[in-house]
Amino acid sequence: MNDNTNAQRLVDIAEIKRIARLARLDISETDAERFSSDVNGILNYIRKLQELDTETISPLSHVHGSHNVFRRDEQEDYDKREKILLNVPERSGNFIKVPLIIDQESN
Amino acid sequence: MTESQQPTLTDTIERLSRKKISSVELTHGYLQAIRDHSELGAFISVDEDKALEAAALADKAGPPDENQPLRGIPIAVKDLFVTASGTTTCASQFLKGYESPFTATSVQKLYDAGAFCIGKTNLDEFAMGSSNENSSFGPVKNPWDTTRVPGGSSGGSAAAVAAQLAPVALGTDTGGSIRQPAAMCGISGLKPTYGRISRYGMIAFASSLDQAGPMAVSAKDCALVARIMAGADRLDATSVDKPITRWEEPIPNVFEGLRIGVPKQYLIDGVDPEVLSAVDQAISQLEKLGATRVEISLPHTEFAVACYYVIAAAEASSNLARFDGIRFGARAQEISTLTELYERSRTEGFGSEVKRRILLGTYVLSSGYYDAYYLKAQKVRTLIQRDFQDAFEHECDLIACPTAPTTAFPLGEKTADPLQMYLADVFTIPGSLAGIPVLSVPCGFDGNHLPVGIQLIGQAWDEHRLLSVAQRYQEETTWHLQAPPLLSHGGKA
Repeated sequence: MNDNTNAQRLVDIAEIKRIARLARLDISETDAERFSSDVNGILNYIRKLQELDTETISPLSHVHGSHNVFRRDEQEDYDKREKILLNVPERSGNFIKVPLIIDQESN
Repeated sequence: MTESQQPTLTDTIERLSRKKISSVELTHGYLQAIRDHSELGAFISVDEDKALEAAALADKAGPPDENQPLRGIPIAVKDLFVTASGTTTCASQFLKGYESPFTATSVQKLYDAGAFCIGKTNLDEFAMGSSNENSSFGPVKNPWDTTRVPGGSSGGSAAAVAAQLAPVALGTDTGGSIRQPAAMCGISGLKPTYGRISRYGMIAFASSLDQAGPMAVSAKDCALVARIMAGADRLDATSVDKPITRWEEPIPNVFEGLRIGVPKQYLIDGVDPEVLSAVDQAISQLEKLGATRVEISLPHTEFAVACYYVIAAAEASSNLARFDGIRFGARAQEISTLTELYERSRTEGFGSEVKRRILLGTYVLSSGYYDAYYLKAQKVRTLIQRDFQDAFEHECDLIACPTAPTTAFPLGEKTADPLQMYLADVFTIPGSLAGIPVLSVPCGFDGNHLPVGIQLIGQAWDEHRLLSVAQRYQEETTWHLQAPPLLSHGGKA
C-alpha cells in the first residue's frame, strides 16, 4: 500500500518476522510485507501519545483502582471432565497427545 | 401491510403474559424470519429443535412472572459467549466446532430468568473489528441497506434485532462493539460500567475493557435485560457487588436539574453533518424534557484511539496466547515439533486482523518498547478517565454525543485501511477506557434513510439514570420504533 512519506519506518520486515516468532505466528513473505506496512501506519498514528507530558501521571491498569480479590483455595468437585476432553484435538484416554517436547538425545 | 413498527421486548413480554401468543408461536415466527433473512448473515448457528423445545417448556411453566420475567423469550447470543449447548466459535476458524463445557454467567442468568437461546450471532473474529467484515463465516449485512455494514463487532446481534430475528440480543463491547452497531442498525444498546456484569464465559479480547450488554429495540428493553445480567460473580474477580434496582422503571423527575454536557472535542472534522444535526435535535428534545445543555471539555479525546489500540492490542496478544492447538480448537496437521504445532495452528487458525493485532500487541509489550508504548498508553488512560471525572464533578450529570462519526458505510469501503477502520470507534472508545456506562439510542436518519445514534455517557454505576433519561426520550420519540424497509415488503410484518 502507500508508504506514508513523512512517516517513520518503525518496524521493518525483519522486525515483523522477529515479533511474529515471539507470538508463535509463522507468516509468509507477502504477509510480512503487508503487516509491516500496516503496523508502521498504526505505530505512526500511536506516536501521537508522545505529545503528552505524562511524567507525573500514574498508569491505569484497572478502572476502579486495582485490588486483590481473595478467596479460600478449596477443592471442588467437577463433573464435566469428559466434555472438556472432547475438545482436545488429539487424545489418548484421559491424556492430551502432543509432539515430543524434550528431544531424546539431550535426555 | 405497508409499514411495520418494531415490537419491543416489553410488548412481547406483555403479549406472553396476556396469553395473546405462546412462546412456541413466537419462536416459530422468529425461526421463520431467520430463514427468510439468511442473506443478512446475522447468525452463525441456530438450533431450531432446541429452541422450540425450550419454548414448549416455557409455555408449560406458564406466562412470565416476577420470578421469571423473561419466561418464554428467545434471545440471540453473540457467538463469543460460551454456551454449554451447541458450538461457540468467536467467528474464528480456530474454534470451529468448539463445544464449551459451561455457559457464561451472564447468559445463565437470563436462562434462570426464563429466556432461552435461539441462535448464536455473527461477529468480527474474536470481536476485532468495526464492520463485521472480519468474520470467517462471512460478513453481516445491514438490514437498512444490505450493501452496507451493520457496524461491529456485535454486527450479527444488531442486525438480528433490527430485522426482527430476535426480540433481544447480547453483545460485548471492548471499544464500541455494542454501541456502534446499535447506532448503525437503528436499535438501542447498553455498555454497562466495567465490572457490572460478569465476564466469566466471555472469550477474552482485552480484559480491562471487555463488558457484556444487551441490544434491543428500546432503552426499557435494555434496562430489564441488563439488570438481570448484572451482579457480582465469584467466577469473575473484576465483577463488583453494587446495588441493582429496577432499571426498567424510570427514576421519577429524572430531568429535574439534569445537566447534559456536550463535549466540544466531539465536533471534529470528518463527522457527518447530518449525524451532528440529528444528535443536536435529540439534545434539544432532552432540553424540552427539562434538561440543561452545557458545553464541556474532554481535552484528551484526540488521544483515545491511539491509547486504546496500544492497550487493547497488548491485552489481546496476551489473551490469545491460549489458542495453541493443544487443548481445544484446530490443530495443524503433519507437524513434527511442538513449536511448529503452535506456529502452524495459530497461523492457520487466525484471520488477518487478529494476526495484525497480535503482532501490534506483541511489539508494544516487547523488551525495549514497553515503556514507550504500553506504559505511556496506561498513563494517557489515566488522563482520559480524569477528563470524565472532572466533567462529572464540576460540569454535568451526563454527557451526550454522536455514537459514530458516520452512518453505516458501504461493505468493503474501509477493509484495506486498518487505521481508517479504527477511527470509526473514535466516539465510543473514550467511555470504554474510562470504564463508565454508555447507552446508544436511535435519534434520527440521514438523507439515505440510514439510522443515527446518540450516546448518553454516565458516571460509573449510574446506569439507572442513563436508562431513565433514554426511556423518557423514547416515550416522546419514535426513532427506535421504525423498522427497516426490508420488513415492509413481503417480510414477516
